[in-house]
Amino acid sequence: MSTAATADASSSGDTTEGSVRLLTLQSEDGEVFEVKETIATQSVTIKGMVDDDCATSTIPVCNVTGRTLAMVIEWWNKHEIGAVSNEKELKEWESQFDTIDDKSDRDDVYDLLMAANYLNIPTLLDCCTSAVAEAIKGKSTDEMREFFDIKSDFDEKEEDALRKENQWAFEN
Amino acid sequence: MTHNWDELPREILMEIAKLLPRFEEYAPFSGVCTSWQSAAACLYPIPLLMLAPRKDSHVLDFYNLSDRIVNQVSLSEDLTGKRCYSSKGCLITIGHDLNVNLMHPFSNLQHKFPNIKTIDRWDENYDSSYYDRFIYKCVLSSNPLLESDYILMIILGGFNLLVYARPGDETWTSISQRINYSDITYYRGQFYAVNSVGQIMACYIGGGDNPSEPEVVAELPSELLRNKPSRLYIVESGEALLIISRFVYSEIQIQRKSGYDKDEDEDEDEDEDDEDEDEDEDEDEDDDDDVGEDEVYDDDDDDDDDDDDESYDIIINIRSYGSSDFQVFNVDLSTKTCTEIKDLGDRTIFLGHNSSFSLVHPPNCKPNSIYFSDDGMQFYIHIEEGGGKDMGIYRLQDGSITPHFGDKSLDSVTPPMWIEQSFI
Repeated sequence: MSTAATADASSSGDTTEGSVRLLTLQSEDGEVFEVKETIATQSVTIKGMVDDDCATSTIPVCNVTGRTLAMVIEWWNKHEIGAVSNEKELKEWESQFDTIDDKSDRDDVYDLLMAANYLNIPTLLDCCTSAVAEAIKGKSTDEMREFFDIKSDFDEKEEDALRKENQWAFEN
Repeated sequence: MTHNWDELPREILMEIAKLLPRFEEYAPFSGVCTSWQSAAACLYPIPLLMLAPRKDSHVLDFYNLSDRIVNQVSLSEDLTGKRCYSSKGCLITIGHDLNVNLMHPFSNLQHKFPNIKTIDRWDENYDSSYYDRFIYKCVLSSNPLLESDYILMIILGGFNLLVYARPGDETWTSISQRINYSDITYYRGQFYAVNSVGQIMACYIGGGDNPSEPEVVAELPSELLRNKPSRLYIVESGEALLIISRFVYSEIQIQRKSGYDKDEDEDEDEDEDDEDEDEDEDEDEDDDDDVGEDEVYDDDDDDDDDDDDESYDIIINIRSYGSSDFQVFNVDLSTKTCTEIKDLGDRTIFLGHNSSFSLVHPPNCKPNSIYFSDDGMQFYIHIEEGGGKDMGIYRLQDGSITPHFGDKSLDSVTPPMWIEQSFI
């Protein structure tokens, strides 16, 4: 996962792209990225803006930090048609998202989920939801709460009832 | 940036829950917190059996098939004196005033629907004390919690009408005046109905003041039926449209009793208006339908009750009744044919006073089975303790019938029925 975070954003803004149009994206924390339009339109949201001619100036990407946006751009670069020679290589590259045992990996996947949802990037959303689902499989309710650092918000009575009714689910 | 996994948007949580299709995966997931629970509940509805409502209470009891536990849910209104129907997880109620309301038992969603008196065939001579028999079935096009623009379609059995309304409508719109509708379902963006002789109809709604009568799109050949069905149902199951026939045996004794002492008549504890009606007992040659049937046949037509001395009562004594057989047919709309199917795969079908529905492997339910609740109103209105006995599980594999609810829950107005979606 850490490699994804070090995406070289400047390469996307290469001005030698000739007639390829560049879009300027600005993250929530002010970082500016120049990205080829053909790549950025993997986001259904951005594609909509381009189609509506609303992508002429800087596009603010609210709720997404520069760090996450860099990861998203790397995702786009890898998933651009022709960028990776074969499917196997792409899957191998994607496999870095598969394990989210470390807290930092979980945080990254969380940020990517939110970004993929906001920017509407189906491939990235699928990849991240699979990672979370795989991590969940085999865990009890209590283990999931600990893993994702979630505090139960059921009231005492509901929590009691849930535990009684589904003891196996809580304790594994 | 904070990473609160319990605050993930519902659409993301649902995408994750979609990847956890097995009960042992999504059950622990839904126990984590309320937001995860409600995401899972949207995808993996747990069928509940709504038990007969308690008298004078806001509390409704729901029997959960997955853990065999009765849960109590407190409602915003008391259901006493109201008849309930269910569709897509919602309850549709009709009271003595003939107001129709929709409510979701596990959320605060409520919508008012037009009064039944707004149907174009309403006649002030109709006796509203039979409010509990006017509506035969209520069917929603979609879950109102998920879609605000939906349609409520009603079979008004007593009036032989098929009517619909959207939330906010002031009147019911009639789409058919044909008789004997047996069930309706919403399938691929359209309502389909089946009538008691096995005609399957597409119901067109929407444009114009005079919507066209439903068009017969297929027919169930009677030679495919092992017995004359007591009731036919229509239900979407996966991509398929199914017709289910239900055979109910009954042992009925009809007595004519002259000089019958009406004071000893054990009235169904509905309301006082009934007693006024009972004053002029008369034989009613009423035949087929729900309105006008009672232990003592009431005079609906207020015609020739001239000679009181010669009047007598008909006492219908239902000794027993119960479902004995089911058959399932697949409707192929492209070839307009019906073929019997013996295997539902991992699906389970739920039938009764609720709108019919089918689920894929609901937790702890038998697949390839029909879970039925008692909708034999023509029988149970003649029984003092009411309906709720004719319930069970029919397995297609071997034709066996076994119980699904061990206790007794009976009511003459609202017997137990299935609730499609649960949020508890």
